Amino acid sequence: MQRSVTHATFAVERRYPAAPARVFAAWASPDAKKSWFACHAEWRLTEYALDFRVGGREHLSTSPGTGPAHIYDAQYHDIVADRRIVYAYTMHLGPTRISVSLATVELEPAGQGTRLLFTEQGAFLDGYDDVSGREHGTRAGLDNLEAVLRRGL
Amino acid sequence: MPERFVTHATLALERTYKVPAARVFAAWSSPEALLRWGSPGEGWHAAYDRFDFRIGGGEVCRFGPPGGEVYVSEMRYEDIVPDARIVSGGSMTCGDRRLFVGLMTVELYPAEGGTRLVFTEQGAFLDGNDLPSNHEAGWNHMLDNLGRNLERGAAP
Repeated sequence: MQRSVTHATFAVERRYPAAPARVFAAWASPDAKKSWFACHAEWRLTEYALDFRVGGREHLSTSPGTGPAHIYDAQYHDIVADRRIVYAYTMHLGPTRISVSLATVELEPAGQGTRLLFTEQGAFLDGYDDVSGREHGTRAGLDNLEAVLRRGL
Repeated sequence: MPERFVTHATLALERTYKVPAARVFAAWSSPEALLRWGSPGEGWHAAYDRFDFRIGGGEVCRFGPPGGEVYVSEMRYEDIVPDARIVSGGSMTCGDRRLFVGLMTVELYPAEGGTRLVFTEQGAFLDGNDLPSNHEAGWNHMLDNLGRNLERGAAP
């Protein structure tokens, strides 16, 4: 098998009509996070667990109906309440590891709301996935988060 | 409350070593081998509290300059392909300050007469407590040490 690694970084900025504490809570509480984090609303969420503390882990498995499960596993490395979350995560397609990434979420007050800056530094393995697909999925998740915040947590 | 900010940086380095990939891989996969070359500066001390080289396993290393601060690096192995690739993620702290969170990728490829090593560190440097230039100097020093160590024919 031909092995390869493509390293790439992308950043997405959003402004949300909610205070930083509410935006932070949407990342920190398992029930809240589960409601927006899976980027494909039509996929079935089969497993979800979140242990939100430094050193804690998160696990998400979704099934697109046909084809292998998409499995996300994260470990939290830095948490500053209402301000910052840094975690590393892997994605698997069935048994195949397709990427390892570092994600940074930064929150700051902006007017009556919050400016969120999401930065992903990814290592995409063996050509299974690429940075444009990942950025697309991330934007979809952050759109879901906005909808959830607008509805009220 | 300290000012909070993050500096993201990617460090990419390459070396070609005149030894087979299996020997280069071995130099990254045991604490004894790592301690022979993996010092970011002259005279630095280092010791492993834990070393579990498998996917999902972790390592904890305490290191620092002589008479200076002690840094603690905690890494978790996320991907290992024998003789070809190691990806790990983790953080570095000093006392109660977290300095850095990062991913490290080591890729090994056959090259004319030896092995090409591609090293990539994707880092989030926290609150000005650490700088990308420190890591660049440290990793250049270590990869040069590794080359001398391998090409002397020392045990990996």
